[in-house]
Amino acid sequence: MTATEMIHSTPRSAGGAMPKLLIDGLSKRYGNVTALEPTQLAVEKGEFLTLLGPSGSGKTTLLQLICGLVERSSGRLFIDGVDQSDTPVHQRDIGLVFQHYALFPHLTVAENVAFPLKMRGCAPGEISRRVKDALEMVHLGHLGDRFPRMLSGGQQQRVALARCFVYQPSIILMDEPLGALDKKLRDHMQIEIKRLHRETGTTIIYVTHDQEEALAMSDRICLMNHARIEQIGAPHEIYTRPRTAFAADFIGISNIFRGEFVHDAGRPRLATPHGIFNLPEDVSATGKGGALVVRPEHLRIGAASPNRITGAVSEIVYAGSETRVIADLGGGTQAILRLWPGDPVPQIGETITAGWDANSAAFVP
Amino acid sequence: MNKDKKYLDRRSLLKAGAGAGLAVLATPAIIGRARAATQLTVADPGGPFGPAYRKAFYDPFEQKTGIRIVNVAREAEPTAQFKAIVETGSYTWDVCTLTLSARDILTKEGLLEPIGFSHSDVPSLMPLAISPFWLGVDVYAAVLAYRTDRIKKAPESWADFWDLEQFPGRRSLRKNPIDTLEEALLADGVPLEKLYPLDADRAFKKLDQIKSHIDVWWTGGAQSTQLLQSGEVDMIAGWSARFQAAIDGGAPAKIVWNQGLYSIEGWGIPKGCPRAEAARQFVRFCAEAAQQAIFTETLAYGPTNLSAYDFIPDERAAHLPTSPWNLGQMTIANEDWWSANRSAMTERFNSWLLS
Amino acid sequence: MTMALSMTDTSPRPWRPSPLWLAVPGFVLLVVFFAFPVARLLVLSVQDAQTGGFSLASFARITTTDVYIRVLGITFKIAGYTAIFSLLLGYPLAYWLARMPDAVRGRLLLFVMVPFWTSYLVKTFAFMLLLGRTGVINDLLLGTGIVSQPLPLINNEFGVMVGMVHAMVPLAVMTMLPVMTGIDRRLVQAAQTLGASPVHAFWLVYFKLSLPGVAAAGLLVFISSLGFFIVPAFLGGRRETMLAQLIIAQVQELLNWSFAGALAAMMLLAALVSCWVYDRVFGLSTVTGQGSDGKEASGRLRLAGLALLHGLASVCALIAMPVNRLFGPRAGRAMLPAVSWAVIAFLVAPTLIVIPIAFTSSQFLEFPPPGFSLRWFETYFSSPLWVQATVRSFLVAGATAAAATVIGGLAALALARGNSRWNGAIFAFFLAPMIVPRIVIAVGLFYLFAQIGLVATDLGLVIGHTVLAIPFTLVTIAAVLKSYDTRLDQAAATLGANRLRTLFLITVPLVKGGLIAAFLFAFITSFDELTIAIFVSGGVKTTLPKQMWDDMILQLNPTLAAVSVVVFAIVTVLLLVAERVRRSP
Repeated sequence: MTATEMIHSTPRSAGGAMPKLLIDGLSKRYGNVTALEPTQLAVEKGEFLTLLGPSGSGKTTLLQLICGLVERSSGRLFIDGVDQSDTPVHQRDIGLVFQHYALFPHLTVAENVAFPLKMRGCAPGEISRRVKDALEMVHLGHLGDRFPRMLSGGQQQRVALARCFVYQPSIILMDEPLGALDKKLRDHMQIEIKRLHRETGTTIIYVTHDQEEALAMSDRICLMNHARIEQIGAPHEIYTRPRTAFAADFIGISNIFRGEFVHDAGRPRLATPHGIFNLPEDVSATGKGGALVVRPEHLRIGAASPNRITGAVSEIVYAGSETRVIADLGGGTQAILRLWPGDPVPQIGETITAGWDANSAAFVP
Repeated sequence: MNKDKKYLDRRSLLKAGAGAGLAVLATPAIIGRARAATQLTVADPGGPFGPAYRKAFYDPFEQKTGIRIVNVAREAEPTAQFKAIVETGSYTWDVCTLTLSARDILTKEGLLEPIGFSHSDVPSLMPLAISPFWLGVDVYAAVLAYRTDRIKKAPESWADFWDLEQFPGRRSLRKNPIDTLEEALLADGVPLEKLYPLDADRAFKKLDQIKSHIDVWWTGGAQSTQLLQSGEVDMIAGWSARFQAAIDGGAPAKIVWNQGLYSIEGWGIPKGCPRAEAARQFVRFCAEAAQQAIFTETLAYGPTNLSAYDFIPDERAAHLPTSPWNLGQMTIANEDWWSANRSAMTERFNSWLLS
Repeated sequence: MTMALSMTDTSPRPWRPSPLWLAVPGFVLLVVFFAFPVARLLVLSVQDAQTGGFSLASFARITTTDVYIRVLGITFKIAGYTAIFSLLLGYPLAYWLARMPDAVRGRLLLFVMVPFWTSYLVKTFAFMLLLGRTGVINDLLLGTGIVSQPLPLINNEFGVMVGMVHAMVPLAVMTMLPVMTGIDRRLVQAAQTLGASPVHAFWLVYFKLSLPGVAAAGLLVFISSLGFFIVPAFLGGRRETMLAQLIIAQVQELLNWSFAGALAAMMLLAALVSCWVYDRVFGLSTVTGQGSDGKEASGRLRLAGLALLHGLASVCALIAMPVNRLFGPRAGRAMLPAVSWAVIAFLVAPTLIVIPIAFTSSQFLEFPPPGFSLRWFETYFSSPLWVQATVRSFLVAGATAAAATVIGGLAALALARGNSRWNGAIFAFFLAPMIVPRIVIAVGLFYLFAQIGLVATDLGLVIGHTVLAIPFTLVTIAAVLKSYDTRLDQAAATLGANRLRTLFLITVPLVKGGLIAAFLFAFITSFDELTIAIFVSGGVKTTLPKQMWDDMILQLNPTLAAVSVVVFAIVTVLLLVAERVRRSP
């Protein structure tokens, strides 16, 4: 894919408006190790883009290249159409929220937040006003005189956010900012960050390895694997139409059935060890075969569908809002399905048959 | 000139490179080097010598000539510095005290300026105390001293020092072959006048007898004073003035002058010194008997101008190496032999100590 | 709209200075004022004194007798034992201090530093008064009837060990402490929850984690010990002769610089070989904090070294368990403070004995003093020589400390930030002044200074002392930078601070403790330095140790003690101020 195609493929791209951030062929190599393959990426103004991927997939490298903490091996980087490839870190109009906050331990909360303003030579009166505003924005107005070590993890994270938002950088990068927090706090902070994003309209590039977090927060998700971008798109698009088996597997829970094409009554179908299944209507069968991706919520016990699998129930997982059934299909393969509301709960060991609507599945090569 | 310019450049470079604080520190030093010829820098042994020399020589000389004397402390063996001073032409000293061995080394290397007068000008000088390049001003002696509270029967010779049965007690020798080899030979019955050339094999053989009975091998002069004063040892070989200091301070001890070895310390002028004329004037002044007598009031060293004893009371004279009573019992350490053999003897002595 | 963009970028990137440039000031200083003069002296060792031609006569002479090899052996043995005993005494003390709250530790460290602030010349004489036949300890033992004969505590190997270990324990503690305070104690607790007994948890977790500090301290002590000459001369016996003494004798008494150069070369070579072996076995990276370059696991010797240390830990664990069971945990808990206080008492004792002597009415250094008098303070304050020497020592030490901290700090920063394969070589070069005997540096510098007019200048003294102090400041600052979170610098950069502002607003305040420690190290290195002072001062610019040395050689009197007491009082005040500065946020 070329850069040009990339720009046009972005959902918000309105007739060639200039992207906030454009990455053209940026790459990073350490000796023989490639940390990031040459990469194309365009981010629109005000967008919330998430870099998602397993560790070592290159997402943090990409982030560090964007803010300039790492020297690029090739490629260029444009912010608002201006080439910033060689701009030193401290002159790029970019904010970075670190995974472990990186608050300055020898400065108070207020001094931490004031730091970027001081670096920009703001007047003392303006500094104190904006620091106050920023701290109130993250509900920490009363803790300005404390030192970071006296705060809880969640509070420290909010200071880090305030320190970043206070100088209104045009792009804010967040490197797994919630990774060190417990689940409840993390959920809460996700909402906080969403609110800040909405209120300030800043462009945010957010790194996480937590797919739920990515799905919940992003305008678009940039899925990375093996030092390159695997798929990029809106959360719904990535979830429902994964382009690769990796994407399907990494985001959400998937049942993946691999097989080869067979032509049955003029229509291509997929022959798998667990049955021969219909392909979604918009898929054209090119090549030898591929895999069908079926989400658990699309599998229904007893559904009258030509696409059916049969197996013995091996586990039933109750998770509050939903119940999952795991069935052993034989040959070491398991299927996961979500019980539909009102459906009877099967017994462990019971043999069940479940089916899905061909169009609810996704096909990946 | 070319040479000077190069150094100047390097120096300015240095100053430019150093921090402002360093430059400030360096300023007085640079001013200080621009000395007038109306001032001489004299390197003396430092410590108690400073005040004693000042009283006897520096102040009277200043009064007489108007040439100011600035005294600095030199090393025990200033030959290395002396050599560098002459070779690099940075005359930080105009006059310096030298031992006989230092004098011989420097004379041989041609690093000394003539002093400009001879024995015939000052006939009462000990003949050994003057050379064309050097004037001896004080005499020191390596002697035996003992604690009178611990050693009941007074030792009289080095043979007594070696006699462990009749003279039990803790002993100390200098950790250096100089004097120590002579003492061993004297203990073995070699007469004073036949000491040199030293029979090193015989000396080490004699030293073997006492090796394991030496409790302390001292290295510094002040240490020897301390050893005698504190009673750490009961019998010790060392320099008389050091021991006299302990005795003057009330330590119950006595010096045995018999079989002592004396040597002379005096002034030398670095070759090519720009203030050599004034320096010669100063050296000549130090040969005066009256000045040397003043010196012995403070420190128990012997004057080289024997007429000085005309000015020294007998009770003080008894403690000085060159007094008529003491000088006859001793002999001078032979520097020629030592300058030829010192290196080899030091090596052998060190080896002997370790085995 | 389409944008024509190329996939690959070949345009030249603007030049960004590599962090290694920060090491340049130190590098230049050391090349000019250390490597060059020392190399010239070493060249002398292969030059014929008369003709100036190439000659191996000096080296041939070393091999004709075994005395030099034996003295080298003795030197290594003494330095090795000093390192071992300094670690044995220093470890429990450092461990104990590391557990203290920050404020308490700061105050206790003042005690540990006490020996530093008492000139080693004075300390050496204090030990003569403490350990001599008529000394304090023998008086006590005889008086209480514990022994019937005075114990031989001095002028033998024991005396040398006491003097050297006393001088080196503070260095060992100061090197180990930062590593120990950096160890997360929860790891020990974690080990205990995993089923390890407290003894096992200590040896197998805490001790192992503290090993880098132990290894660094061992090396620093060992190398520093190689160049001692005063302690063996005054506290040693017949056999305790160290190589530095022979080199000094060759230079000063025998004027044989060629042979001195050969001896210095031999010492240098031996020191380098031991550093190399040390690097193979323990990894020199432990001294710097360098070394996460993947080389760590390689090297059979190094693995063997680690295995050795681990084996030691296991053996100690085996021994400690029954001991603990026998005496009970309470006794075990009281042991540590008891041992620590004992070590502190040992460190402070010589200084304590100096105080009463300063007020003696006797004209000798004797203990107990026969009467009270202020005459020695009077002598001190009325002597322009002593007062000038004191003032000069403070000024020179202050300038040295400032210069060495800045230069060493920049070099440490260069090494911490730069990822060059030259790091190891640069680091070794900066440590070299520690390995080369001071007498060699002093003589070489004297020759150089004489040529450029720096003899008998304060600047000359400051340069010489800075050369000596740089290794200490580098190691100290490198240690704190190792534990420094570089993300804070990155954070500052992303927040708009350039490198300089990041350095002064973030890095420097956060490593303040290390910088102050480095400053103090450098200050005391200069303040207590004798060898360079002897040569470079030219007798004119006398420093305090030089003045004391003159006194010690010529005529010892309690002025020395009075001076020590005054210096001690001034320095204590300075230290308290420094400690306050360090702890202020």
